[in-house]
Amino acid sequence: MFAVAGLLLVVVVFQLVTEPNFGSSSNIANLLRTSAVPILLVVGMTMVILTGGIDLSMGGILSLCGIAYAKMVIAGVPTSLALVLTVLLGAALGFGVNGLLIGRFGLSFFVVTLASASVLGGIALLWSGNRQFDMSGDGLARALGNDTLGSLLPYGAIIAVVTVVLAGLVLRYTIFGRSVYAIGGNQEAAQLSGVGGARVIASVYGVSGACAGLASVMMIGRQTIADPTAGSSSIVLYVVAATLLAGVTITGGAGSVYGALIGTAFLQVLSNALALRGFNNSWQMVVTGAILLVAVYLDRVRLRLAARRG
Amino acid sequence: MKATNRKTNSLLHLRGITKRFPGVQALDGVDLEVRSGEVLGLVGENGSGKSTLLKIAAGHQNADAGEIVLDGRPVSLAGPADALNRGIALIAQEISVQPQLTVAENLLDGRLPRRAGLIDWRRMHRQTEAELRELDLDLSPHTTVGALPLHQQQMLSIARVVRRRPRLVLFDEPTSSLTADEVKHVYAMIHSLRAAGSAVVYITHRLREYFDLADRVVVLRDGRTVATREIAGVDEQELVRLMVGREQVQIFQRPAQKDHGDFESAALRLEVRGITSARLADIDLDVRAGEIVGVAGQAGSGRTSLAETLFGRWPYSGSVRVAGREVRLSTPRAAIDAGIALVPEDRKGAGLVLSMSVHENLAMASWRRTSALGVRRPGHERAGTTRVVRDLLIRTAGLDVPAVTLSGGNQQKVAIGKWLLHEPSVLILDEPTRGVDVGAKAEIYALVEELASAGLGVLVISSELLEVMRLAHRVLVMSNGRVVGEEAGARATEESITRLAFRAEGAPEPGSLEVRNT
Repeated sequence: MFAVAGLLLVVVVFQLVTEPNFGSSSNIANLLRTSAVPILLVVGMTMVILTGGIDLSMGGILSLCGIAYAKMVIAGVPTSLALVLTVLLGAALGFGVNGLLIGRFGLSFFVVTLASASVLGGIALLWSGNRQFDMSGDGLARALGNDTLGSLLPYGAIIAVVTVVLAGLVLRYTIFGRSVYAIGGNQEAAQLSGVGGARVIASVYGVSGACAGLASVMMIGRQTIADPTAGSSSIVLYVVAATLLAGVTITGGAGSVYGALIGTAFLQVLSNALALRGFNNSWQMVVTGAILLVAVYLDRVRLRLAARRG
Repeated sequence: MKATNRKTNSLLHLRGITKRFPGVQALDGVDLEVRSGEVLGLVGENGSGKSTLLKIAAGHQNADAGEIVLDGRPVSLAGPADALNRGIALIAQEISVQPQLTVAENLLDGRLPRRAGLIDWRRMHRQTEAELRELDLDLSPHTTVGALPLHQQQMLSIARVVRRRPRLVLFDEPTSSLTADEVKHVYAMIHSLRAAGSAVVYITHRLREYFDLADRVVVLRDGRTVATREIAGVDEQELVRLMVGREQVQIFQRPAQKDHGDFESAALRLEVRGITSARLADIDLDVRAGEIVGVAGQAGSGRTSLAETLFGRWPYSGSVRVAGREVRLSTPRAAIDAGIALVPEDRKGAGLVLSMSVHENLAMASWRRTSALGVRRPGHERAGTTRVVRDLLIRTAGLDVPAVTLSGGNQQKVAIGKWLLHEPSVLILDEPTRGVDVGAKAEIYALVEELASAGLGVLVISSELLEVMRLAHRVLVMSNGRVVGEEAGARATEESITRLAFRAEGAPEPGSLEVRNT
């Protein structure tokens, strides 16, 4: 985590010195704005990965929730109510579909979330008729996804950071939070201590779904459209990479949501830097994938060192 | 140097082998010499380092220090394959077959006959049939190995090594899952290996097998070689004394005051009536306040199933009362809420979350008691865990270091200690001192006794008969999922318990003395 924080600092300083546009208030606001959605998703993903699982369906839930929100708003549901319902829908999908199948029935998290990613993403396409909806008139979504407090602080980024802190507190100070770590560390021992049954596992997928639901509305606000393919597989890859980058172990039980925040910040600053230098999106994909490999390799090295130390 | 080698015919000589695992000195300068054409018994109690030594000799693990001399020349083994190429094969405790593949594929172990580059199945099956006949094994080459009963899988995993005629075969408890008839098969294989000039190193938990098979025995204790004897010059009692050591004999001394207690009038902590499940048949069991009940029996007798069933891990029929209340043990959490605590036999796999801190591990089982509305109260928790660390003399660098950094004995104290904050009525200990050093063993025994006198009902399950006899007021003997006998703790002897277990099994081995079952 500290290594990545240091690296982040190096990139920021390097950018500040060599790239005059980097420090401009519009670029900083933009950087924060584009970070909000990934940070939210990373919070959910961190919870899931801490239990030793992974949520590949996050993109599917994101797409479906976005379409649901758009449909509700177009049908005349007040936007604030639609927002609440969308977050609840995400939570219900995560808890009720992924969570129950994985936690209660013991199916493989990989297979379950891969399958539900496909099912939910497909439903989003069917329901939208494979169309995008113009949501530029939606003030609430725009506030969440685009508007800033003053000239520098997007509301979305504030919400994302508050979510990180909240998740950090829950993970540290509640039984639920410690059960998440215990399950990831050793599920059998956790269960034999009476903590972390099916409910805890189902709940982390619920949290993950809720984060995707909230993120879907932010995304609509930022893009001014509701897109049934908003949650593409590349966004899931990006979120997993950001989570693993700064110390959340893929096998679960170790890492923190703050580390995940730093990992996301690093990837964001890096892609911002690439964009400012004229590299397009495709390059950012290449870099993200490569960094994911490096992160997983470092994770292994760390585990091996820890094993040797005993 | 050469001359002495020829004279003693030294095949393999391990010199000054030292190996450390986190928190444990597994081997401390061990010497072991194996001569061509001999069967060498490696004797030692659970945790003495026998298995580790064989793994090092077979290239499965590297020694921290020491020398491996093969045919008079120092060698370094790059791995199991390298050792096998040099003629050293290990038959490990764990059965090593590919359950998905057939008997033929397993036996030939990747060296399948080919024709034009493709596998020649017909020839493979013919060849396997011939080899199985030669080894006197009644198996079909076509059978999928996973479908065979465990003991036949074990025979197969022995056969696939022996057929290659290695110069040195290291057996680590090959007979623990075998029937008496198959044990004879293994004996026959060993005799034929020796007749062909190969050497054998043999570990078993049945002392009698050393007298049946071995030419010499080497005794290990706490990672050191304590004796090397011709088998003709020792008897069983002498072996046990060498294995256990005077220091330990004392640890296993039963406190005299133990047998004056009378539990007839004490309150019932646990009443089990007619528990029946897939692995248990009609178990009745009472444990009273202050009483320690021991459960003995062979591996697979249902000892551990009983513990796990009472902890809500398996479905059962029958009734259980804890402290007078009828309870239904459908999940571990239900068992915990009912007042039952389990310290499982697999400490690292099930007892602790090794990546979490000592504090978290101690607090975990009582999180739900110490928290308010799901939010933890750190001050309250720490007061409790600090007390447990102090009371149990848990040696740790602090409350917040990961549990993995503690020694085996101290980890076990954490696994027991986490229940103290929960204040259960019944404490079940499954193999409470497995892989624990001598000093910690004594402390754990004292702790268990202290908990019992504080009013808990304690159930101790152990494959170490000495341990059961040391701790228990009453010993139950299990076999095939049933309680087949009971003996007052003061009267129980290794012979009486073993006799009860074997009589029920009908195995023709009344003289066999199961001292350890690693």
